[in-house]
Amino acid sequence: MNESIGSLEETILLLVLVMQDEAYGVSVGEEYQKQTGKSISIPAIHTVLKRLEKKGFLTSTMGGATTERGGRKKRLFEITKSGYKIIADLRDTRNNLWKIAPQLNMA
Amino acid sequence: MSSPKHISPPGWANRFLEWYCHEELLDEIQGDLTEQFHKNLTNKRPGEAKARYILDVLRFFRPSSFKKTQIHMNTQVISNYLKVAFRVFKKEKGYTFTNIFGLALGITCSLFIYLWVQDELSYNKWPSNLDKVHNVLVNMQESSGTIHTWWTTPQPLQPVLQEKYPAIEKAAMVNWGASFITKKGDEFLTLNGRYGTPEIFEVFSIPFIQGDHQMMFETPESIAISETAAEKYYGADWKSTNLVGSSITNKDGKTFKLAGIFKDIPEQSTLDFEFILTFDYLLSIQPWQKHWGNFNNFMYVKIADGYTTESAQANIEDAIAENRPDSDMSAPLVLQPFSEHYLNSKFENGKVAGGRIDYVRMLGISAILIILLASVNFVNLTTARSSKRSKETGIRKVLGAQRQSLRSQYMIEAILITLAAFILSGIAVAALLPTFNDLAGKTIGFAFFNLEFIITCLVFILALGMLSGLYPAFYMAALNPIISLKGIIKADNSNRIFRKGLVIFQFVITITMIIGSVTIYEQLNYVLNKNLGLDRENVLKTNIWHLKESQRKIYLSRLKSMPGIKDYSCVNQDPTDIGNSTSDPTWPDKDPEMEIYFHVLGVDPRFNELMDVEIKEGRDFDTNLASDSSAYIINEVTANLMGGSEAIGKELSFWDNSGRVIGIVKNFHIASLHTPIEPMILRMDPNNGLLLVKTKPGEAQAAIQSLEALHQEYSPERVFDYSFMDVDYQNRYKSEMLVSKLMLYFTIVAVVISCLGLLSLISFSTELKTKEIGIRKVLGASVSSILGLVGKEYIVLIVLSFIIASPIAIYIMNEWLSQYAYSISLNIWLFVIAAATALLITLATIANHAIRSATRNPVESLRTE
Repeated sequence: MNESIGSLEETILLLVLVMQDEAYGVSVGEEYQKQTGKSISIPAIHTVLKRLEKKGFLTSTMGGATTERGGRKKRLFEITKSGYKIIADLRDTRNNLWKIAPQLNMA
Repeated sequence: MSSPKHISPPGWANRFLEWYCHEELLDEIQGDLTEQFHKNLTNKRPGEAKARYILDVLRFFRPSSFKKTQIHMNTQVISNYLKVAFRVFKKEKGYTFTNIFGLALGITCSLFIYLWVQDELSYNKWPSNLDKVHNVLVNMQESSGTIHTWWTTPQPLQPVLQEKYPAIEKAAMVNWGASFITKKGDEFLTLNGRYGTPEIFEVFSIPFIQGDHQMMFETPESIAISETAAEKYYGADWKSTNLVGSSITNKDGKTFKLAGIFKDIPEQSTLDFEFILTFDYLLSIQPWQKHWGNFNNFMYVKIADGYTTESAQANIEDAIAENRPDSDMSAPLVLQPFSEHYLNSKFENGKVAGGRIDYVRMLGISAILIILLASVNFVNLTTARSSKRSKETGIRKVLGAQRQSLRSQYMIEAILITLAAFILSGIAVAALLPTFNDLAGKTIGFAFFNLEFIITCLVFILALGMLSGLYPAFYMAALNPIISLKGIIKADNSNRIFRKGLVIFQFVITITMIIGSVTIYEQLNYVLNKNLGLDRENVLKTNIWHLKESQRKIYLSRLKSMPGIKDYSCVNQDPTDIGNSTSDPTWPDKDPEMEIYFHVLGVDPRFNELMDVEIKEGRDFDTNLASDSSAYIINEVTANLMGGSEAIGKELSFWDNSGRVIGIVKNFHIASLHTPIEPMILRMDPNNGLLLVKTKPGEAQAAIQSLEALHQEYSPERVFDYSFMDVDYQNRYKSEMLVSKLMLYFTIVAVVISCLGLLSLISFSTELKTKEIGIRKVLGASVSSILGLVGKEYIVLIVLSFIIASPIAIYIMNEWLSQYAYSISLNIWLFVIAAATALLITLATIANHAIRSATRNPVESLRTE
């Protein structure tokens, strides 16, 4: 697997991981806003989720419909093994780099 | 804010989403958007939530969410189409220019009309409870059966309506207008407003910034002013102090208490005021207003919940008959929604009969016609050019292009051209907007340029592009590849007939418009130059109501000898626009059943001479005869009612006075030419306050200076205000003049567009005939016979169009002329002018091409092989 991911993709992937169940367009968007303080549009989230699924980092199933959604079903996302692996790898790489990074007093 | 469950996402956006979105994706996309929409409703305004929904639907409009059956073109194909399109545009510069320019011209015109219509439609839409606010009108029936609809009602009706009739929640009365002159420092400040009952603020739900209208119920000497007026009077920082209860003194020293400061009334309103003085105060100085017989003031009502316009009208219809104690006259009330009052102000036989709405429709239709003309050009040109591109189409087909993709190619070209035209006309509109505002007397700003407008435009571009690309696209895609590859550029018959049909269609519209604008121009000319029966030239009007009687005498005697002044007369209103009428007059042998309204004009003995009114029988008023102060002069219409010339000497009585008829004047027009001349009576009135001044010819300026000098001396606190009677007369036909001007411009645009089309067609068809012409010349044809060959076809088309257009124009223009009681008749000359214009323009358009091809050296044209 040679796929690489961007930082927005990484964040969303992490969010799906954290949320475990009930990760679909609207809920991921809300969580994103809660965690980062930035707002994001539904179409943007859909694009990212779809791309991640295509790359094999997410799988999805169709979930239940609610009246709030006008009787439409949700697409629920779940992280795959390779998805988990790629963010774990990313974290490890970063941690390693941080370990050898000099302590600067810039904060 | 709780989530309002009944609000749902905008329907059209939803349908659009369902239309383009892949079925498998619809669940998640629509579901997520709907859920987000409801979440947004809890913390945002419904409008914002809807806007976001629409925006998101548009954001999802991308290839990845499209249905599989949708146009599946990959970007490469599209970029190839674009490349080819731009190459064609570059190669055929003249053709492209004609197309874009013609379309842009049409679109610019239509955009302006769109702006104008929008502005017209936005009148009287400002009250927050719009559907409840109504004007109360009265239908007055004459014994002849004619019904006059009056806009004014008697004062005692107001409390009666409000208290006795459940359909009316609030009723308010305002007068025609008043000015309030006060002193701010050393300078005089004039405010324009009305006397009105305090309920006016409740009927229209006008919000107050400071105070409210309650004080006005108890204190007749109180006033409410608008924020603009407050700024004028108290200065820019008036908001910093509470001004309620402070006093305002007018220039006569009368003091009023400030009840409140209300929000400005928007400009686009038939009712506007900078202040309201209490109606109770008006009644204390004009007690005669408190009479059922005096229909003097406007009435506005707010109907109660649960009533519609119709049911409320049924409830109050007979209010006058039921409540008026001194007469059993029936005068049914009519309710008209306030929002309709501006555009539908004309009444015939008690029913709405149009008004400005007629012009809105007329111009709206013209706008659509012009766009049609421009698109027809487009279709025509593209089909004509199609044979030139038949090789390209042939090759594409041989290489396996589907019809569908060929169609898309031509559609894309059409949309590109439309887009370019739109951009061009957008620039033109921006540049010409100030000029247009001047012309139409509007103050349209760039506020219209919002998201909604842009979306409308985009939709329009797509629609127009597709519409005009449709025929060429289908036609081209259907060409037989073998024939088209051979390069046989003989356009087939159906195509040619179709093109000719389009040319005829264009010229039918153009010729109809030419006839229309010539007719309107002629009628307006007739109206503006008609001999009214009195001489309105060189007459200045100014008010001297405010002068006391003693002052007036000296004022007038001094005026007579001042420079530029020939003569003067005092009347009570403009004799070319008499407003009031009365059914009161009686005479000894009057038919008791006769119920007719007479217009009464208050004059002085100098009037008839000053205005050059011809005395037909009897004599004029005589200053030296004291008995003449109670004498009457009548017009011919009144005389006919009173028994012709026998009317002279009869005793005429009305308004508790009686006197003898001493003369009959020739009819002169006392109202607009829309209405026939009605019965009129001239009576002597020493208290007239409208001064008519006849200036010496060419000395109008000197006369104005004289008047101004006197004005400064006698009433410096008032703004010097004067007008010319003939200008006022013209201004009464403002909307007609505007329409006439706009129609003229439209006609020019239509002519230009049609000619552009014609020009390209002829250049194309002479190109096709190059060889034919060459051979004919070699065989000895003369230049004139070749000119005939080329031109004949077009002349026939124009003549045919003319034959079709004439009856259409006759029908439409007769309808239009019928609204005038005095009008020109459609004569043959109008049509001759229109026909000649169309023919001349056609000839001028095709002449250049025809002559060039006819005089060309045949050797050159035959060598083209």
